[in-house]
Amino acid sequence: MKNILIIEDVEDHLEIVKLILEQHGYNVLVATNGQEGLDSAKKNLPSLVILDVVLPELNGYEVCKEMKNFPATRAIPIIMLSVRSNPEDVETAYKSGANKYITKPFNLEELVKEVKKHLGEES
Amino acid sequence: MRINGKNCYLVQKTGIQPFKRCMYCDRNVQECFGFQFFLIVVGIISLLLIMFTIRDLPILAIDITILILLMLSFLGYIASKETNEIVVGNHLLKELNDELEKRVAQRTKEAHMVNLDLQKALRIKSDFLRNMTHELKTPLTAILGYISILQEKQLGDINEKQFKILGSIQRNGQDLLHQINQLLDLSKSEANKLTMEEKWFDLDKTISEATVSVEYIASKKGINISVHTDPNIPSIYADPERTKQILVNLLSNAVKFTDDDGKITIDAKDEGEFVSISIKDTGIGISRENFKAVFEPFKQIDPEKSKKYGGTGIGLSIVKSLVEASGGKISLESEPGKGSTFKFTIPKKNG
Repeated sequence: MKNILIIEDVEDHLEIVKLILEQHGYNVLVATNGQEGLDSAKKNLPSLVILDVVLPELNGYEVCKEMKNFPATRAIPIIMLSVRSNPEDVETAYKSGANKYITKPFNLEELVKEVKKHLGEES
Repeated sequence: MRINGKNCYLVQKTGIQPFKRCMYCDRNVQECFGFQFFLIVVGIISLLLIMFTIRDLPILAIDITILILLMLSFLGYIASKETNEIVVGNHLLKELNDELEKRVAQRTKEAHMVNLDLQKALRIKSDFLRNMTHELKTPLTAILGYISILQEKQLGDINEKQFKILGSIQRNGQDLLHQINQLLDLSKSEANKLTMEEKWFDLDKTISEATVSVEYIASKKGINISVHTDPNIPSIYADPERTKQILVNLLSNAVKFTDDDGKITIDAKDEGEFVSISIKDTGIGISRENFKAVFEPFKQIDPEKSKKYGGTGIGLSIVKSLVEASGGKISLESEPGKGSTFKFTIPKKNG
């Protein structure tokens, strides 16, 4: 079973992503702030990370950059989720190393599709 | 007061600002001679009289010199009299001009400050709108997310009635999201920051997606929506999401302002360099004098009607901004009581 790490501080958003991923047979790890998420990523080396942008401690962009700078976590795909839809925000996300940027409110089907795509499970 | 380039050596040296000018320089005659002109004249005439009375003196050369001097100062006097008014006029004009310049500078400064204040206010409003929409989207994400999970029956079965209610909540949630995005777009269009993500897409598919989003309300009102697409329309290069947003806005307006059992027709045509899409309804219509106003933000033509039909008054202004940002044009044909036709164009690009 593949591990997916969700770094998200909004409890309900975390719960929704967790429910849908568990439903699709993934093992979910959670973190509710940037630093905790980064530590967990380095320690657990998940197959994929779902990352919010606005987070306490380290923000999503910083977590993203740190993960891409750290050899062991560099190859882990990162899907960023955020309510911010400005082109500048999207650009910052991709420049920080995100593999995909999805704006909230997100479509659950689309999220699962992207997760599968980045895990190389696309049918 | 100084008249440029007209001051003689004497004036330049003494720095006296002449009030009257002689014809040779800016210095007035009296000042040049050090006493009043009439004193010179009186002096010269007395001298001449004395010389004429002592006839036997050989003073012809001095006579002539004195006569020339007299003529010259007389000419200078006339010139100074003539130019006096001009100089005074110039002086007054310059004072007036200085005053005016000062006032213009003051007003320009004030206008600049007002402009800065306005820009600041606009920025604050934009920031507020952006932050506000983020705050609104956060709970909405939770609502729509949980509804999807329940709808997909991942946590257990639900009965038909419950499923229908979830559908209603979801539709209302999506409507709320649409309104929030419109607000965000309004602030972006005010700041000229509307973004377009152009790619190749199938117009037919976009039209049917847009139609689906208003179908529910249309069917409730018994409104029939028919779509005619020119089979020659190729795949077009534009922003599919923005095109859909334009269509959804125009369609929801058409549905909103068309009474029960009306008719809406969508017509897409290939017009050479453009693809045109028109949306025709059998609704309440718009009178000609209001054609311009309907595209202005927050404007609703008839307060009584807007009470009945609802709406925020930003939809059409966003549509206009979006159409223009895509390089197209929007036009309106309508008559009160006979329905409206909104037609917009999308330029054909090569990608």
